Amino acid sequence: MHNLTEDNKRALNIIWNASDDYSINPEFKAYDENGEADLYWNYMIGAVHKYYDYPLLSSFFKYLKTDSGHEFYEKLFWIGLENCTFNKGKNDRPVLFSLRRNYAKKVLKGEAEPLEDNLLNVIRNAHFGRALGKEPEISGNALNILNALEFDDTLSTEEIILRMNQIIKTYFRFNYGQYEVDIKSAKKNKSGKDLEKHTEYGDEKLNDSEMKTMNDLYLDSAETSREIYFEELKQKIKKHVRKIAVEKRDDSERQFIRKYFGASIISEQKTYSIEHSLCVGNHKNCHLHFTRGEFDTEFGDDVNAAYYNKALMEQREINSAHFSSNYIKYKNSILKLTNKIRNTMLAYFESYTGKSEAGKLNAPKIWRNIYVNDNRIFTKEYNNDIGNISVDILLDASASQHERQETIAAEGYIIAESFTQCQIPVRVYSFSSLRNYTVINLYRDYDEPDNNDKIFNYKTTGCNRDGLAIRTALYMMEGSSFHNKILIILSDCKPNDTQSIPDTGIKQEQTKYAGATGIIDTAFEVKKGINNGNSVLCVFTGEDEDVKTAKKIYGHNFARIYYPERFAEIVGVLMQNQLKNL
Amino acid sequence: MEEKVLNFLRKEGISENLIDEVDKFRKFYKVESKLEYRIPSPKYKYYGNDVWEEAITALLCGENLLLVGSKATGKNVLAENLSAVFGRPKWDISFHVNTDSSSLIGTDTFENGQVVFRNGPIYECAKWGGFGVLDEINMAKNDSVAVLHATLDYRRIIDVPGYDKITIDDASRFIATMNYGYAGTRELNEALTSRFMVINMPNISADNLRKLLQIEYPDLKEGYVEQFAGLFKDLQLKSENSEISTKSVDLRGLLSSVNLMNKGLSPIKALQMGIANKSFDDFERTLVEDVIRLRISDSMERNEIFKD
Repeated sequence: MHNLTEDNKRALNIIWNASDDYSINPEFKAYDENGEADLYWNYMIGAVHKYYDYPLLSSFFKYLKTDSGHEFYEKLFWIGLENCTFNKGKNDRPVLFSLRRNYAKKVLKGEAEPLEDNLLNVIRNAHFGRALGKEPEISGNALNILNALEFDDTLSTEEIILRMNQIIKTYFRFNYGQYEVDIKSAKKNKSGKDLEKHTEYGDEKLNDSEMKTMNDLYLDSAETSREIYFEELKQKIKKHVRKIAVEKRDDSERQFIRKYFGASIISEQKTYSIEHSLCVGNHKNCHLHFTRGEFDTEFGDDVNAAYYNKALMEQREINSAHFSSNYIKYKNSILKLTNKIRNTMLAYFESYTGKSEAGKLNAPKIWRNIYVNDNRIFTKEYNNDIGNISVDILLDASASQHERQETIAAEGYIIAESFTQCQIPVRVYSFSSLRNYTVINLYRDYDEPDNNDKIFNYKTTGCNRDGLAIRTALYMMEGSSFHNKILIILSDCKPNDTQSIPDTGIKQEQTKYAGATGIIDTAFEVKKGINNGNSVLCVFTGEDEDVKTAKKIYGHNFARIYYPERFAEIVGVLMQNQLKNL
Repeated sequence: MEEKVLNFLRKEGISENLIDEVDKFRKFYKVESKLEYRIPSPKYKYYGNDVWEEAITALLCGENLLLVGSKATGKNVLAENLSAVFGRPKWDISFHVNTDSSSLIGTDTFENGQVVFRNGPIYECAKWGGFGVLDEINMAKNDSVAVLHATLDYRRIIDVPGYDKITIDDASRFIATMNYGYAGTRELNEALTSRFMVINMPNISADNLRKLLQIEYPDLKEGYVEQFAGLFKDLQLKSENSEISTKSVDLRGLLSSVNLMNKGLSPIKALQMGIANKSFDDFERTLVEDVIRLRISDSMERNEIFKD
């Protein structure tokens, strides 16, 4: 069976290669009769991007789409484009002659992918027959069309479009009536799409309950500011009142977070002290909450808390169901990854002793030096031991990951399980931000090898303050006694939080924690972690457009997962490289 | 020999001033005749005016060099060329995780029934005024190369505990290379880095690549110099966009492939061996093969590519 995604990726790679531009997202891709990416035609598609003004061509293709028979016109047009693009490219790449010849032979033998329309078939055969030096056996209109269609490579994009339009006008009936209807519906569609866009909050898509939470948040903050203002007036008289009021408010917020995410696993005092050392600089005014996602019994009869808990359990069901329905695939990934890690550990970190010209004298061997002139009478221990390793896995649980929750839970599980099987201690947690709380949800600690399936409790919500989360993760790692600490972050590299960065100047301007600001802050935290001797890696789970961001934040220490089938290989190579260089 | 290398520099457009200085350096510092065999006569020339001038200036000023760059940027080629240009004997020292002070400076050993000190390559290089090439310096553990600190900075000494302290010859220089770029490469610590002048080695430019191919394989037809250079650039671009790893972006492999073609192997097979098969991942190999097939036809023969 053919792997569609692989062939799709392959077609894209050929197109990018031909166009020299890796930023394009082509609207056409070519596959041969077996469903494999077609080298020659994908090259043509890429080369058209390179030699011609593609936006112009693209709008022409859009115009063609207004006819219900647009596929016919598109294919016809591509035959013409092949002619001029071939002529433009043949000097750059002489190999095109032979590629074209092979393809032409395939067409004439009837082995190329069949076209539905008879006229198209006739024209294509005649065209590629000509490419092989045979005079076409057609006459009349078909010949006229072919002659007009074989565009000269001296024509500009505009001239080609004009010529094609002329062909359509002269020989075919382009459906004008339908055109208007289509335009209308297209417009309608478009406005519908726009509307959809507006409902998105920044980069994050929010569902209803989250939307409500957001609204609450805004109401709350308005309330707060009034409260503080009011207290400040009285500050001089009753200084302690303000403190109490703020703490109270903090408490109510904390209570909400506890309700939503579960009970705290550390004492309030400890949380405050951690906040005191971490929530500074860009993260001033932020708070932290550490939980295991366990329902806080204090809110036993609270409807909201019960509701959140139920939603969490539902997501857990979905995650587990997804994993079991792909059980074989994921189990394979675990096996592959485990083997990769184990091999690396075996190959690189075994210490051994050997004969040497220097080292500890091996007395029974001294005679060899005197009688057979062998200098290697010492033993030396080649110590490759890198000390013990710990792995922390940090999952980005912000709403932007909403659509791929099951996959991320599964990926997190695969990595955790693979390291567990290699007897390397793993700790797994997720982070997300709601109101001004960054919540660290711990699924499994180093000494809980049986708790990997807790990772399926993964549920996305709210924003993500990557910088603070990474800072916190590194802080938690600092406390452990392992020699080599690896932090793996599964993220889409889109830092975004509603809580702004506090202003520092006289001007009361607030910078939103998103876009470049968020990226710089996150990159800074990552760099700091690396400079302190940790390894920080990223498994990139986001969209193609954010790859650049991932590069900015993690340098070369990130792996991009094109498609889940190859997850184990890609992460495996990343791990191998990392382990080798510890 | 001497005139040849200096003429090469002239042809590359290196400033006449620097060439004069190099000439003076060569005339001032003599080489023991028993070490002349260590002066390299490089197989490949390094092309790249800017890098040449930076490197020569730094070495003339008595600095040590750290060449940082990804694969196929010519770090070792430049190091070899530099010792040829300055006419100094060269010591190659490969660094690995087990590199330690005894493998660099030297160690006590047993010879003919006696304990003697056996000089390590750094020691030899320092004693005879050679150029020491510290290959892949970042592969060694940072603490084990700390013994080099005194050697590399202004002190210019090697102090072997219990043996002797020697001063490094005035003509000695150290050129370290370091591959940096693929995921997980180790960084060099600051203490060591600060003892070098660092050159960031650029990827070979299209012009220089064409020049290299033409000089290495003068029989190669003009059009195919272009194709092979284009092939390498295509792969480089693909790797820069993280579509493939750097394994197949292999200049050494490309040159060797052309060599195999010259011997009569079919071009597509030669490229398969030299480039595509360097990647052990099936899918990545397919992508690389696609790039090759958009440059070289499956059925091509040797005589289509080479004159004669």
